[in-house]
Amino acid sequence: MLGIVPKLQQYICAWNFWPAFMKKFMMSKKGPFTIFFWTPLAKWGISIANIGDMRKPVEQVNTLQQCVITLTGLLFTRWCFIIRPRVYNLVLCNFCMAQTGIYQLYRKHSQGKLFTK
Amino acid sequence: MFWTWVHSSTGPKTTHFWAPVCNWFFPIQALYDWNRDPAKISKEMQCVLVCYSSLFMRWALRISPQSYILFCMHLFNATLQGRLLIKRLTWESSQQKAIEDKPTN
Repeated sequence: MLGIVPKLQQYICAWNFWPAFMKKFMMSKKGPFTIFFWTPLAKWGISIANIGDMRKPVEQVNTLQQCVITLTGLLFTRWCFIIRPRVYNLVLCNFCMAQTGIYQLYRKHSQGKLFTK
Repeated sequence: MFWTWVHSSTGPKTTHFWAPVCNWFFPIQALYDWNRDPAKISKEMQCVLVCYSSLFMRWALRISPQSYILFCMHLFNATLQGRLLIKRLTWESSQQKAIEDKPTN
């Protein structure tokens, strides 16, 4: 859009102390200066936030949100197996998302608060 | 034509169709929780969902072919989840202010 990120990439990659593998990684089409690197990390963030929320009281857990997270996780796990190329990182990410969602729903259910808002 | 779509390899009998559809449940959930009690909103989860949707908005336009529907979905999601996040942050700051203003005996 404004061309800031490619300029930043060129500036940083021009530094001399980077080893060759690091430079190759930073210049790649799925490297840290592209969106393709950060989107799977954002999806992992959902699972990490869910794990963090396991310490909180169940009243703060949103049933509908957890249902959506579980459903999305399960469907995208299946989807990741049928697309080409298969990205196992994404499979694992979506699977973990579904598992954390299921556990949060179980926590709510075990306290009888599954259907309370 | 309808039945051609139903039986196609990306139609409603496949995961290719239902996976993006279930993504729409994120903004629908945020709409359903329009009046949720801010004490019951998880700040961390809302932050993550806003970041997730912001990044995927960019991703939807950078993939080939571009997906404007996915872009719209993430735009709505980022806005609506952001609204819940702001609601929680406003509530937290008002709670903090109430504690500070409370006269100490």
